[in-house]
Amino acid sequence: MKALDPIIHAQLRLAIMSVLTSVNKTDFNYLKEVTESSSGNLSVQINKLKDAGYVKVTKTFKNNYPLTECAITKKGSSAFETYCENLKSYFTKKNKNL
Amino acid sequence: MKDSIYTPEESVQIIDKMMQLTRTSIKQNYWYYLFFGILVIIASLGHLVLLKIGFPQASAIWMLMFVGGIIAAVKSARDKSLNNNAQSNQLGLIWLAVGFTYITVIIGTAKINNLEAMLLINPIVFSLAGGATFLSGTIMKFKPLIIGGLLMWLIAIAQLFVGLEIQLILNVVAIVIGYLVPAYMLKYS
Repeated sequence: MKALDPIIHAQLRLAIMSVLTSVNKTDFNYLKEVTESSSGNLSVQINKLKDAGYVKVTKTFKNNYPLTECAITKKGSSAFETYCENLKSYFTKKNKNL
Repeated sequence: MKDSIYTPEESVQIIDKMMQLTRTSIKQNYWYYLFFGILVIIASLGHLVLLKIGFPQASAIWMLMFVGGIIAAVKSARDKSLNNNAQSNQLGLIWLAVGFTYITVIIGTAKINNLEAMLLINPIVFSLAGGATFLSGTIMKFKPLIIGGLLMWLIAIAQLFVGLEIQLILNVVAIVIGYLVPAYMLKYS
């Protein structure tokens, strides 16, 4: 099995990447709701993905409330694709060995 | 959610769960397709019946769509917290743009008040609906809506060559193919 990208290979970061792959762009509250995580932990993990260049974070205001939007970058999409390919190769190998 | 992943199976479960959850929020859109689909069928068949019995203002039955628009807008505002993602917003904006274009087309043709112009309403409206359905399917990555949109375009072209009564029957066909079948497939997917 090829090594899995350590930046993506963590529960919450993988969940964030999966959601962003599905919806392209979403806000912090929606991510918090679907991943059932705390604001603090989610914020830390988003920053790790942001530092890796996988996620773009935009902070704006909506109705006087701060709005944090997250979007997957091209680099992030390609990293997630590679991660899934590596997972697939693991299962193909596993099935062959059965 | 804990931080580490122990097995590749666990990774697949996380990806699957997240994809399902975002899919669920998109699935809620099926209501709008069903609602407007049924409304257009009622209006088309009602229009046909009123024409047959010689009712002078038969096309007034399409006012139902404005009432439907208000009901859908109220529901959409109520559901906003459930659909609060970028994809749903994009879908909402597409249908809002199409809704305003419908109004312009209907007012424009009513202003001309000519039978030939009236015959253009259905093809234009279904061409726009086909476009919006096609785009919605593309955004939702849901093939039945993409196919439904394409078929609605074809029906819109066919409507250019027929009279009003056949156009109204084609409306029902377009709605069944473009809205109702994909809506049920989305609901039970």
